[in-house]
Amino acid sequence: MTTKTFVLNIAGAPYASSAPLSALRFAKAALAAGHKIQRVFFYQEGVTLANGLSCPPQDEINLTKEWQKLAAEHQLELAVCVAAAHKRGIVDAKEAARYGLEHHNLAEGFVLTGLGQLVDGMANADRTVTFNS
Amino acid sequence: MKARDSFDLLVVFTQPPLTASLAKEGLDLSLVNSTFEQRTGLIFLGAGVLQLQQNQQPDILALKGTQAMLQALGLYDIDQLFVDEQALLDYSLTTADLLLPTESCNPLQLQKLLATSRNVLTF
Repeated sequence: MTTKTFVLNIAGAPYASSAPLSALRFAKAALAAGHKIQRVFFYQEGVTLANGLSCPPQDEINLTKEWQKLAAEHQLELAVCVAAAHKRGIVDAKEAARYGLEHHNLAEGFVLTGLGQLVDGMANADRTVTFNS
Repeated sequence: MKARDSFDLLVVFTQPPLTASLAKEGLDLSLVNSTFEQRTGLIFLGAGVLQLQQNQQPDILALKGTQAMLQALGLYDIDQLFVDEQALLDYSLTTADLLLPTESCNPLQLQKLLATSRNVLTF
């Protein structure tokens, strides 16, 4: 079997859509089959997965933690569109200081970056798969 | 259909204007994609053709609108815009009514565009 390189574009919000969960299951299956995940990009409503303050009930899946765990295990890049994130209240410490905000909430393991990272990913991966609903 | 009908990225617009950030985020991506010298085409399907309606007044709704971004597409070398022929009929529009020059496509032509592009993202 040929190894393929994937970029995942997650554009649907956790809990309001099944995008982050479907993508998580896809990523696990792809990695288990020996494929590579070059980058996981979060755009549109998908950026809210990077909110480190979300606390779903303990008997429900915590999608942010699940993604952090998978990323740590496989050294995946969790890239979050900075413009989409700021609009929806996801900021890191540096940006919070720049905007004069009292708090920051970007979850560990996620990085704020530009749309160029999605474009670069799409240009170089064998397949880009979008999850938005 | 023009010769340059194979794109690195086709951005598909399906929603009417002024409803959410969708169109803006699709246009943002289109502009960045073109900046990276990736061939970029735009398709307007269904209610998405209304994005190209002229004389929108987003300020009445305290919104920003995307007309200025659409008009800047040419500066980014994005000049391949395709519209869904049936949607134009449904909304009693012709390509002459639209903000920018576009090519009207039938379902087969749209299907070919989608099938020959490397990536497709829908907004």
